[in-house]
Amino acid sequence: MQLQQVVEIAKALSQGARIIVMDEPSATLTRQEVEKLFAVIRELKAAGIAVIYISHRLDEVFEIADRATVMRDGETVDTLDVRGLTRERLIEMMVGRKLENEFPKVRAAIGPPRLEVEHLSRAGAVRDVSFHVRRGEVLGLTGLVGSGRTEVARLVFGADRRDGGTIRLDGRALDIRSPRDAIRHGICLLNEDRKAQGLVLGLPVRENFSLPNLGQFSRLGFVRRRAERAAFARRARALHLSVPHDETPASSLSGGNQQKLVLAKWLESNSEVILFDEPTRGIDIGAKYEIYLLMNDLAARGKSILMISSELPEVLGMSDRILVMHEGRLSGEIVDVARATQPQILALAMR
Amino acid sequence: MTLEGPTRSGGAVGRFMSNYGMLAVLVLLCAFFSWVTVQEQQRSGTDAAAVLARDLEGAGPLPARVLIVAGTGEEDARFADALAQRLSAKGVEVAGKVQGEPRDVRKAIQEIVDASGRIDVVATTRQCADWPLLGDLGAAFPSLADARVRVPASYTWPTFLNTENLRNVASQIVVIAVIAIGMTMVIITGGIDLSVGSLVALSAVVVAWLIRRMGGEAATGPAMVLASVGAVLACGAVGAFSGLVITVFRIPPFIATLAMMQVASGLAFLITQGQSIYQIPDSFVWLGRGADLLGIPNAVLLMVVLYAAAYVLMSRTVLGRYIYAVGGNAEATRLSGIRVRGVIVFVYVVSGLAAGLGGVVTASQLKSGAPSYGLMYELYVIAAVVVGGTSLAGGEGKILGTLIGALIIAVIWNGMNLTGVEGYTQKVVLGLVILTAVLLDMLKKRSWPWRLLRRQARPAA
Repeated sequence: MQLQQVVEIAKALSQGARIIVMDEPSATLTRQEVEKLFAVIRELKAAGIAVIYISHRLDEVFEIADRATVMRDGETVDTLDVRGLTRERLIEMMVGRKLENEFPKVRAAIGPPRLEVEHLSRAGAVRDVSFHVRRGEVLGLTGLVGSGRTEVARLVFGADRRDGGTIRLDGRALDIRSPRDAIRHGICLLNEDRKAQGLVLGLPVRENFSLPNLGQFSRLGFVRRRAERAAFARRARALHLSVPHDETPASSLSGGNQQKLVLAKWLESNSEVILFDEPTRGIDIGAKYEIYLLMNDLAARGKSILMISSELPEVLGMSDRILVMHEGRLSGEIVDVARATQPQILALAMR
Repeated sequence: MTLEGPTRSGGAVGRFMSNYGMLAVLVLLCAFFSWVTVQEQQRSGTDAAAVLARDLEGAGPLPARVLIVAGTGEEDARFADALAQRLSAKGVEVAGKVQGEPRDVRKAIQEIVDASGRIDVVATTRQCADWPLLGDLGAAFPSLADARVRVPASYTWPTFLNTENLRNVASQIVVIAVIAIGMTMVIITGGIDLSVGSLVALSAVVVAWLIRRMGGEAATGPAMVLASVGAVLACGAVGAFSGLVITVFRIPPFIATLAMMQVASGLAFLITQGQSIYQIPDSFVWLGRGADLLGIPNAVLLMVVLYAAAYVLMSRTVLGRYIYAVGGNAEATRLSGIRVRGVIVFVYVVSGLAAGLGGVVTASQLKSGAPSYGLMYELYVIAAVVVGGTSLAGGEGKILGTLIGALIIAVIWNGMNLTGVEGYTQKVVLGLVILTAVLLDMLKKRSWPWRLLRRQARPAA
C-alpha cells in the first residue's frame, strides 16, 4: 500500500472514525498493494468500523464487499447483498439493460487492407514489425507490458521517430514524421494515458474537442465559435457524451466520458484509421460497454481499428484478428478468434 | 456530473468575480488612496485665472485697477496672461503683469507704483501670496497698504484623482504593462522570460544609437520611426533566439532566458561603451510624453491598443487556443497535431517585441538611451502577470487580468508615494502584495479552506 494511503487511514482512525470512505483507493496501487489494503479493511471490519469502498473494478467488489450499491447517472439503482449476486446481474444494474454478452461484438464487412505497415522498427523497442489492418476490421494487438505494443502505435502515429519501416494507407506510402502528418492522413491515436497525453485537462471539453480541428472551425486564424459549438454538440450527442456544459473542464469528466471526448475529437477530424491503446482502461463497466458499441459502429462505417489491450477477454471478445507481441517482435497471429483461448495468447506473449 | 471548483459554475457575478476578482481589488485600492489623499487642492494656469476672475466679479463692484503677480514657470505665465485677458475684457484696468522671482517682482511692482500710484487688488497665485513681499504689502509699498491680495479659491479633492497624478500612474506603468503582454503569453505556455529587463535596455540603446547614426538631434521623423522599428525587431530576434534555444535544445526557459538576460545587457553596454546616448531630437519624446487625444498620453493609447489586440489574439484566434493548450499539456497538444515548438517560439518572439517596444517608450520618456534602463523590470512584469491571476504553472491566465495586475502595482506604488511611505517599506509592501495575490489565486482555485474543513469532518482515503 502506498504510504500516503496508510497515513490517511491512520489519521482517520486516530480521529475516532466509525465510518471510512475510500474513493477508488486501488487506482494507484499494484496488485500486491491492493491485497494489503484488503487485509487492512478486513481488520477494520473486525474492529467494528464500517467502510464505504467506491470502485469501478467488479472483481474488487466481489472480493471485499458485503453489500453493494450501484449508482448510475447520479441515482441509486439498488443495494444488494454481494453473496448470491452474479457478475452479470451487477453489470446489468450498472449498464441499465439486459446483457447477453459483456462483449457485444458485431463483425463488420471486412474489406481490403487500408493500413499496411512494413518492417517498422525503433531501437530498443520495436523490431521489424509488419502488419496490416483492413477496412472495417478490429485488429487486436496484445502482449505483455513492455512488449512494444504501445510503441508500435506511437511509431505509426509519428509520436516517436522510427528507425525504419514504411507505412502505407490505401496503397499509398505515407511520409509520417509527426502526429501532424498522421492526423492529416486520417490516422489517429487514442492514448492509454488520456490524462497525460490525450487531453488538456484544464481546458473546457469543447476546446479539447476542437484542438486538432481548429482548421475547420476557423477563418483567417479566427475561431468560428458558432461552427465549433454546433460540431461539438453534434458529436457529443452521437457519442452519448454527457457534459453539463461545453465549458466544463475536461478534468471533471469521468474516465468513460473522457474517452468519448477523445474519440469525438478524432472522429471530427475524419480519422479513418483508429489506433486505440487500452480503450477501456480506467473506465467503468457501463461506459466500457458503450465504447465497445462505438467500436462496432466505427467498424461498420468502414474505419480500421487497431485495438491494443492487456485485457485478454477484451482482446478475444472484440477483435476480428489478433496479433501478439513479445519483446518488440510480432510473436504470433490468431485469425480464428472464435476458437482462440487465453492460454493460447499467453503462450505467444511469453514465448 | 460534478464540477471541480467554482470557476465555471455559479451565476454571472460568481464567474465575473472569479475571472476578474482582482478588478474589485483595484477599485478598492483606488477608493482607499483617494480617501487618504483628500486635501486642499490649488488651481493653476487658465483654470485658476478663470476662477479668480469670477470671484473678483462676484465680490461686488469690480476693482478699478488690478496688478497681476505670478511666479516663474509656464503654468504661472498662462495664469497671468489668461487673467489679464479676462479682466481687460470686463473693463478692468490691468495696472501691470509681473512675473518672476520675488526680487524681480519687487522691482517691477516698485516701477508700476512709481508710475501710476493706486492699485485696488493684487491678483496672484497661492504660492506667490505666501511670499513675505505680498504677505505684508503695506510694509514694502506704503501706497499699497489698502490694496487687497486675492488668490484663486482652492477646493478639496483627492490628490490621487488629480488628472496630473492619474497621468503619472499611467505613464509609470505603461512600459511594465506592455512588456507584461508578452510575459503573460510566455507564462501561459508554462515558460518564463527573464530577459525582458535587459531587452528594455538593449532596445533603448539601439534606438538611441540608430538615431544618433541617422543625424542625432537633426534626425527626421521617418528616421526615428525606422530606428524604433529596428530596435523592436532586434529584441524580437533575441526573443526568437531564446525560443529556438528552448525548443531545439530543450533548455529550461528559466536558464535560457537568464542567459539571454546577460547577453542582452552586455550588448547594451558594448554598443554604448557604458555611456548614455543623449543626441536625440526633442520631437522623439512624442511617444513617451506626448498626449494628443483628449489629454490621454500617447503611450497609454499604445498600451490600450496592444492590450485589445492581445485580448483578441488570446480569446478569439486559433493561435490563442494553441498557446493555452501548450501550457495546459504540451504533450497532449503535440499529439493533437499542433506544432508546439512553433507556438513556443512565437510567444518568446512576442515577449521580445513587447520588451523592445517597452524600451523604445522608455527611451522616448527619458529622451535618451542607457544600458542601465529596465533594471529589475522582469520582476515587476512577472509580478504584474501573477497579480493578474495567471498561473506560473501555465495553461491558464488572462490578458486583461495582467493589465489589472499592472495597474494594481502602479496604484500601490503611487499611493505609497503620495502618502509618504518610504522606498524600503514600499518594497516590503509590494512583496506582500505579490504573495497575497498568489495565495488568493490558489484559494479561489482549490477552495482549500473548505476542503480542509471537509477533511476534518470526513476522513477518507
